[in-house]
Amino acid sequence: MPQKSFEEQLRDKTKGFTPEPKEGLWEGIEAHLLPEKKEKKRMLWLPLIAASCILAIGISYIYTTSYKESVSIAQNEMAGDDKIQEFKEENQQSLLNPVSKSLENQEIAQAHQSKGLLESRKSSNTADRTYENKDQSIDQSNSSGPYRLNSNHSDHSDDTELGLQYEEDKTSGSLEGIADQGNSSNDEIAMPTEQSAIEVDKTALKTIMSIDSELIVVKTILPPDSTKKVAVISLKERFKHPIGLGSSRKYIEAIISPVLSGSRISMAREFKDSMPYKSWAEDRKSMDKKAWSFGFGFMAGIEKRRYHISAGLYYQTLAYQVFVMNVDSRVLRGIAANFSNFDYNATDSFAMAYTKTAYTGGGNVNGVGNYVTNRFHYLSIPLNMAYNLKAKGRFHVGLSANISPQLLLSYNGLLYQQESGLYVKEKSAMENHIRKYNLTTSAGLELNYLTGISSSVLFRPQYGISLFPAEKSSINAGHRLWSFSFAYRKYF
Amino acid sequence: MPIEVKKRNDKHEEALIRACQRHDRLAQSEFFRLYSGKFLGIVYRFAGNYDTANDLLQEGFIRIFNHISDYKFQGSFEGWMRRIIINTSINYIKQHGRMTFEEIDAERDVFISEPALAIDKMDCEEIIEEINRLPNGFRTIMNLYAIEGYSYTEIAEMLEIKEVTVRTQYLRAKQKLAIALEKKKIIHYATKII
Repeated sequence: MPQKSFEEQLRDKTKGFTPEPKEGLWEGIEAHLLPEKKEKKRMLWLPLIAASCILAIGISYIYTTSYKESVSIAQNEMAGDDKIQEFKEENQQSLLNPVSKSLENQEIAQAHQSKGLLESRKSSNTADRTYENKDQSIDQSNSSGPYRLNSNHSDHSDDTELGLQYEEDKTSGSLEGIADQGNSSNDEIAMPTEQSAIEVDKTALKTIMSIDSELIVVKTILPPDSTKKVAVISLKERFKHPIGLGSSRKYIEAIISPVLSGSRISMAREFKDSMPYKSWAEDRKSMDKKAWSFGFGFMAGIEKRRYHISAGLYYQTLAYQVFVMNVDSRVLRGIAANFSNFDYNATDSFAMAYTKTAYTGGGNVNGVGNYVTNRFHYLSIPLNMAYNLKAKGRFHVGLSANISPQLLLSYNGLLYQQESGLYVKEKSAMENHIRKYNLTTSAGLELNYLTGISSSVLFRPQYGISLFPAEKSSINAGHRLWSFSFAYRKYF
Repeated sequence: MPIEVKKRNDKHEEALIRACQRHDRLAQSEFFRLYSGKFLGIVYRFAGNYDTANDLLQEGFIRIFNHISDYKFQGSFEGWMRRIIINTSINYIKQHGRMTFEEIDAERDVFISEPALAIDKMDCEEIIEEINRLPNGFRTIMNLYAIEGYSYTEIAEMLEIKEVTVRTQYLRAKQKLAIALEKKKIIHYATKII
């Protein structure tokens, strides 16, 4: 072995010369350092805001549309002549005996007709189709004349489900009876009392929603001053049918979604300004790595005009990787190569890389660090809403937003305890520190390709966050996620 | 060290550096804790006493942390810090006009045949003390060339003197160190050439 030169030996000898600096030297340095930079706030809330906006716009649009249409319908039916006013006054007193007023109602109906208010915009084909579906019928004996609403009593159970109640005529047992008793001819309209008219409005609204903007029924039977009430009813109905007026299609879809999820570090407010905690959090931000996960599930929804809304059941895993050092001599056998298979027990602990010196005095780190995947398994009930921006041929492009309440099914990773700066594998600690419920929101694009009349395939790239960190400790790790959902949709 | 482990350690250091670039106090204190001993050893060899060395260390770390944004992750970060510490020490020596080079008594000039053998038998502290007893100029060049590994050219630029001066001063510093060691009877085999 060749002998080292004088310089080499001198270098080797002096390498180990590390005297202790004098007390208070760091404080002296710290006093001259530049102030800490404020961390740029990351746009973690952007997806949430985007999702909220889409939902808010959607709901407000539906509400506005509903209200306007209802008001429009009612206003069109309002008349200013004396007879209509008289209709109101008289019918207020005839709630208990609507049949006796049927002849007068007939006059009012004729007045409506004479003012051209009872016009029909309904094509007979559509009416037949619709009423066949709804077990109701509209008879049109005269193409220019009024319509008569016939309500099949056997269909009331369906209406009741929708929150609709008829003012039943005990004599005839149906609204149809009102007309029949006063008019033997089908070319005359049955005008119910105000109360029953309002109730019928509900039926009408239901019918409207069913038969795609055909307003014939409401135009025929609305009383003159029901504007406000109809609007209110309409609003109530709208919440029961949040898809808006117009044609709709129901669908189910099967989804599978690769998810790239990562850690999102947040701190409890009381620790925000605490330097050590802050630094640990910063360090975990830089040390934690993303990991691939996946999810799958089924959704059922309704498509209405440009809107889609769906809900379902979904299984999802979310994960991130933490870099830890084995610091406990008792767990020396957990060397890096076998770390992921290491059979740790309840007392095992692992220091995160940054704190390895801080917690071991700089010299007691055993083994080397390794990445361990923390994985959370959730059962979700996602609510998805989408808005189609543009359609070109079979291809639709839209925006989608998703919010998912989640129930934690299991967790197989290491838990970080900010008090000690250690990761632990301890069941009781997990029960105390891992959040059982969570809420995830995401937003992004929805690309829909119609493969046929009743089917389509979708791709939804979305970015999202968990609103609550998975770990409840003061320095928490949650998730940010990039999901790439593929779905097959079947329309009915 | 396995490549995987080195990569992780590098990543850990990178995370710390980035935290320091945000002027994170804890990360800075961590760096201070990690390197203060090593760097104090360096500045002590230049300053010759602990009081001055501590002052220089403080000044050096302030420069490091306030200019850490200039570090672009090219080359060793420790080397980058070390250069700042050494420059701080040299600036101090220059500012205080202490860069003097002593001529060696020709009669006492020695040729050290195997100085490394002598060094090998000495403690680290003993060697440092002997280096510190050298005149400032010799000590600076001895530190820069023999310990820090700078070339004659680099030292000449740093000290703003001629390269040949650096070369001769180093040889003389080496001889002076040998004489000092001989005085202490450490080098019994030092050969007197005159």
